[in-house]
Amino acid sequence: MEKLKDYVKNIGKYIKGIFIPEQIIIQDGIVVSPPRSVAPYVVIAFVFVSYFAIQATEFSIFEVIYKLFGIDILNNHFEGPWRAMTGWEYLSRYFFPIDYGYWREVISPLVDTIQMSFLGSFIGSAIALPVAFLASSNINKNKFTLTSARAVLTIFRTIPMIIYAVIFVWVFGKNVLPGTMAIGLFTFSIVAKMLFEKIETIDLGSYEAIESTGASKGKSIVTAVLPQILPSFYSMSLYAFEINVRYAAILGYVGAGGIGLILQSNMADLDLTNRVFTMLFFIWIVVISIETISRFLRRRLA
Amino acid sequence: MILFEKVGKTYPDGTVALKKVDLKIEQGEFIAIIGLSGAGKSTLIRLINKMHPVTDGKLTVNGTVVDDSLVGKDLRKFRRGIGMIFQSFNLIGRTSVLKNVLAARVADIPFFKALLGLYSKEDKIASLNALEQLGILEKAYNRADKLSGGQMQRVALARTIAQDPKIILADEPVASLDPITATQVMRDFEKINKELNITILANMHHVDMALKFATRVIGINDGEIVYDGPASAVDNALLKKVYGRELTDDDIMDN
Repeated sequence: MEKLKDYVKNIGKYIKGIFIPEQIIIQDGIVVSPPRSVAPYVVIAFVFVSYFAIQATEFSIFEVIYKLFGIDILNNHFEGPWRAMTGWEYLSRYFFPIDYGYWREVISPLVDTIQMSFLGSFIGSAIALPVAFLASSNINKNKFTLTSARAVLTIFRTIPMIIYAVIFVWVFGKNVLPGTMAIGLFTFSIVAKMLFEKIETIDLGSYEAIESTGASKGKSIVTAVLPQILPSFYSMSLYAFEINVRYAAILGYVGAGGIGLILQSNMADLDLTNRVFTMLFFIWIVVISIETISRFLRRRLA
Repeated sequence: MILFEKVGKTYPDGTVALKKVDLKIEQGEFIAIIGLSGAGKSTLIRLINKMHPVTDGKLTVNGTVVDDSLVGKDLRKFRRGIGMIFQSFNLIGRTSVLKNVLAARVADIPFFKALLGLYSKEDKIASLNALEQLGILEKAYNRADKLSGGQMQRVALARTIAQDPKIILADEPVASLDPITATQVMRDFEKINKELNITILANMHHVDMALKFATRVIGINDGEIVYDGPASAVDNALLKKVYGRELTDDDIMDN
């Protein structure tokens, strides 16, 4: 209790201490003043931004709870729900039960989805590797090619994968090919970006050493730099594959092949059935398995 | 033979690192270069294999004039004959000791073989021989980044031997090693120098070690050579010229 009183009494001092760190006096009266931290200002800015974001979006956790479960905690009298049933009723009535027998129809497009993701991830990563070197400022000293490579990567990264799928479906027709290509491009853009940032952090001493033996730039790179980044590269490619399996599930919705195709036929007129949820269940099983394998492999690479 | 004729080096930012250096180095000499940090030791060494280009005067290395016209293929062929050793060893991490030594021969193989790491049996034998010469053969299949500092510098030396050079440039080769390991590495240099008649130019911070192993000492102060002569003739007066003050017992490391 005494302690608490002490805190209250000195509250001003403590608040001041957050912004201006107290000086520390060590032996012989030497004064050490710690540098001021930006952290408290960042926290204040964060709280402000969050407050305005909540105001702007009219986000209310009570409204969410009401529309999902039909419980009006503070008696706010929200409008709705729109379909005369709560979210939970809607989900449980139309999505359940899981129809395990449906797997016979799901298995083939699901395998398509995995194959699309695998091939797309593989091709995308393979192209990303040389481009990442072009985009690394410590390796590529040519301003023009460096800037071009980075510009291309930014453009590719800006376009969402589903847009690639729409474009490729338009060009190649409804098939797994446009899906594979969309995944390939997406993988290329993110793996190249992650990889060049990794390349820029490596120690170039060994590269200098190999160059000093009279090896060309290209040979010095593949001999001294490549072995250092390969484990990270494999890890990034696996991670991209993990993400891609999830993304690929919706690509079929625009006709780009895979499980999304049935998702589309089952959701055609928003007539949701338990089959949608059944499919999500199977996708979930696949994603979990791939993530587990991928995580195991990536841990071994680290 | 390495011949410096009024060689100067000014960096693009205007820093003058070397001024009118005249030097003549015969094949098989063991030279230690001493001087304060920033005196121009590293620059002097890096001019020889054109890691930095000469900006003034004329530098001739074994008959090749090292100037602006030495580029591309000619430069790479020229560098084949000059090995280089670094303070931080500069081994390739995440790969085996043997692959590190083999890397010295990558200049002579086609690009796709370099990419896939395909070396000939002859290259492998030469590399394993180099490791044997430095007494580190049993580590051939260990990962290079798991070795101790002394072992790493030995691997770097083996890599240089596998390159079959006429000259070895060593930039602070023992500066990050403890005194005992440093002495061992210097002995390796001595052995290579005597047995293979390779010219060695080493930048050294440890004066005592420089005097113990090198046959000739070059002292540099502020980009100029202030001493060039046998190690046996170096005395305190000379060191004062090199370092700007007399060395005390605190500066000399005991072995």
